[in-house]
Amino acid sequence: MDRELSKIFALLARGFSYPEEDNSSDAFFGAVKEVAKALDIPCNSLSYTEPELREAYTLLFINEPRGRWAPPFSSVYLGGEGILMAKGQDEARNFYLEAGLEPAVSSEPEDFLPTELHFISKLIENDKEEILSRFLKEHLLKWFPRFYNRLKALEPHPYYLLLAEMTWKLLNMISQEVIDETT
Amino acid sequence: MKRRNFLKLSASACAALAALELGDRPVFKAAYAKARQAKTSLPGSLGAKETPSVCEMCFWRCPIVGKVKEGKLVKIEGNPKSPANGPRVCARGNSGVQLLYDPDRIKYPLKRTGARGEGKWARISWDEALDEVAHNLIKVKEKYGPHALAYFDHGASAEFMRDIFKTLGTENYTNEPAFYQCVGPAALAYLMTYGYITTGTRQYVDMKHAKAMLLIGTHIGENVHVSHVREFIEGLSNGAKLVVVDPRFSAAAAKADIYLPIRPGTDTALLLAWTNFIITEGLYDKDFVERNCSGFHELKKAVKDYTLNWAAPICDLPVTDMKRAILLLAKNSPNVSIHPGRHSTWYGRGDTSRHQALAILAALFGAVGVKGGLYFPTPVKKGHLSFGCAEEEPETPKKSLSEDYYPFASTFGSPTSKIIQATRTGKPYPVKLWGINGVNIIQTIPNPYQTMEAIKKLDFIFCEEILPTETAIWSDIVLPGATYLERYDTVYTYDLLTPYLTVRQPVVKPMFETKSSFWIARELAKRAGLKCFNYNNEVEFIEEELKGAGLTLKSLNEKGGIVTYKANPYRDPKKLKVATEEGKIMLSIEDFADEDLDPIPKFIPTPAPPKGYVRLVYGRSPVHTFTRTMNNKWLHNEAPENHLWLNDKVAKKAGIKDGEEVVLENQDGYRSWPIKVKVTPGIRPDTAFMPHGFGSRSKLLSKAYKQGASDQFMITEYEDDPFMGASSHRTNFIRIVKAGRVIDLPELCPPPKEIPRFSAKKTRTGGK
Ligand code: SF4
Repeated sequence: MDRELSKIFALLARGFSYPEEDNSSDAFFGAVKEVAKALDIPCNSLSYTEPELREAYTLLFINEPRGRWAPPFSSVYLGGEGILMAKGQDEARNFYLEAGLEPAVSSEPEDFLPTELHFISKLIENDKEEILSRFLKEHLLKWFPRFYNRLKALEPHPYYLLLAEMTWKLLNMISQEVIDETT
Repeated sequence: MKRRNFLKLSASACAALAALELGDRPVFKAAYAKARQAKTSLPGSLGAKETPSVCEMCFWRCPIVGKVKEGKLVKIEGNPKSPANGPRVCARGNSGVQLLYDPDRIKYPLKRTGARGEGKWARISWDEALDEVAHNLIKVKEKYGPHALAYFDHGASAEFMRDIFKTLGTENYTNEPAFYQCVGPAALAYLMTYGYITTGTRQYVDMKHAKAMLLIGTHIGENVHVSHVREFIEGLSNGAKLVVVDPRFSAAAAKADIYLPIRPGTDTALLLAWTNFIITEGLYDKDFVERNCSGFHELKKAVKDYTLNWAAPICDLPVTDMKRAILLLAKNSPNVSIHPGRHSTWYGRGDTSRHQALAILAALFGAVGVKGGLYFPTPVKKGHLSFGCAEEEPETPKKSLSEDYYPFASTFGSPTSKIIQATRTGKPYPVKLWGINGVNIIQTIPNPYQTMEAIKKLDFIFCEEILPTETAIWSDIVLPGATYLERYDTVYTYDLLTPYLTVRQPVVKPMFETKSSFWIARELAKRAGLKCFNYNNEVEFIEEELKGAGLTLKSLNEKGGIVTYKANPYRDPKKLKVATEEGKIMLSIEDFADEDLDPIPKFIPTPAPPKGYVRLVYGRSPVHTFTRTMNNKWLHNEAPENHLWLNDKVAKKAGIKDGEEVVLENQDGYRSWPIKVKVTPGIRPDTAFMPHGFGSRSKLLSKAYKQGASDQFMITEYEDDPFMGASSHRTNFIRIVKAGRVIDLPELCPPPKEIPRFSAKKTRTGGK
């Protein structure tokens, strides 16, 4: 089960990354759909073109003309300043280092949602339950709900809403289990 | 982990996941660093790695150090080794951190997917973005000829891309709004009088050692350039007397010994009356003038009718005050700072003459090359760069947008107003592609409505930008530029009283996919098939420049990132030789006469406000640099919105209270966004003032959007300076709309007969 769960977080991490060939393929959508089903989240057929998702992604997560976007970086939600590379970045980085990991070269700040989701995938893969428990409780669950609420309020593209709903549900499930277990 | 039973995955789900290939990009690697122990780590910026660099929150370029901890910029300070600013930076300099980490930044190359101006984009790759720009550059050039390309730029880093436009052969390779909307008239006046640009980016005026100073409309303190403000304050603390001429009681006026609240548009009348006064009273420096100036007799004759009595009703100033002020300056000559001004595109006609009159006044006082006066730059030697781009000036078209309209424009590029006109009308030739770099043209050039109309007519428009400004949202392709904290630029030298050499270098690695201006220009040139940019990267050419100064990047950094030199600002008045053709200071400029322009300034009145309106003037907020800093969180917190300064007596009669929110309507019927009124006796009854740069219209700037009102959107009427084509910014008038009702403002100081009244072409009313 852990192997699958780890893969599911890797899947969500890729889902929240900019659409490219591998994460806008039928196989990818198929896997998203199966996981949604397992999570009891209704979803119709997922068939989107890469350009469609690219525009939707840019509007939601990069820059949006009405100023209605949901920055996928924890620092924007933590620490009160609303800027990048703030408290969220420090927290995330410290957790990564504690787990003996460091983000590979990437153009985004390290507290990018896909990076954090990928980190969970790694923790599950490497059986680092205690760090996972703290990472969720002390960091991710402090900001993800705010990101999720902000996203929902934007009436976003249904695909990204689905990914967010899946993430939220999964985080709740896993946190109940790991936080209960380790506290 | 063992107990993942909360999720029941079907066999098909397991199969789908197992079959999934999630690319092969590694997201994590094994860490070398250790997690920071909260207890052992030093607080704040202590223990940070320090990198010397150069600020670009404005264009004064103070040397700074960036303090970085774990790859994150935590603080910016002045470079303590800098003789100009030392460890100090201004509020904006401090706030660079907030520009770097602003989530609203342009992060990736973007391609427009909605209509121009809508701001709908999709992220694209650098390859696609650069290919598209290069393809359009070539296509437009082939279809309409090279001059159909136009480039608007600001700042040293924008100069790389300028080379591309120049190499492509357009005469419109630089249309710097910084020149045509700001320093142009003053720069030209001083260049022609003294042979060097006494005021442009820098002002070579020795306020620190002055015994008296004159500021005309210059509001130092609200306009903050660290070393300049410090020299001003040092001068005052050394006991210098100060005369301030300004329709508004500015921060500088608050420190003045004599404050002259002049009628806007009449400064030249005052200056010419003063010139005549010191000549007739024999208060000028005869020796200096005889030895070093040319054209004195012509000057004397030309100004003879400008008396203080004549000027009094025009300037709306008492003769006694005008006399007191000029006597104070004369008494302290030659150690007087006749400040040359900076932003000088005020009224169109007469702007060059006003600064020429200031330049003449300084010369008559002999306040040139002496302590306290205007002084000469001390050039700092560095290596010469040869990028291999076109060195020759492009061939001029049959009818040039530059020199065929304004005889002195071509030295500085093509006037922005002419580019916009040609784009709108296709005359004298079509302009079909704009490149924009480092300047938010919609909030900089008068009549943004015309600018937007022009953009709609273009085949293609692209920009390099840091933030999603109005200009970005009108662009087809947006190239994400790195901030000054993430890139190298060329070597910077400072040739004022405390000369130094320093270099801008990255203090952190670029965020997202942003790139340096040099990288972008070089890639673009390659794709457009241009032979340009012989260097592979910035470090290569920086080393070459440093070699000329006997340095390397390493040795410079070992010295703290800066080396200083001895200044040579003063001259023996008996041996003065200036860089004009005659070697003399030109009190009468024959080159102007050759072009049927006045060789000696004349007073040309600018029309007075129509009944019911007051003149709109604007200025700087001390914590902002135009629109560039409006989205910066810290600066936004300091000054989130602007206020309209309105005279207290006018406000009372019009029934407007302090703090009330109103809308402005200009003489053409255009309305502003809501703005609060600051009721004050500190402004003349015929004038209203607002700080510039507010009221952003880009919704992508989450902090700046709709905060206060934009002066630029009230400036729809402009006139070009006949010498070099700069466009006027103070030729617009406003009245007030309160709760939907239009309020005409009472006229408390009517203009004398010498000043005609502005007549609107056709005054429209109601909602634009
Ligand atoms: S004056 Fe302020 S903003 Fe301008 S360069 Fe200096 S520190 Fe930076």
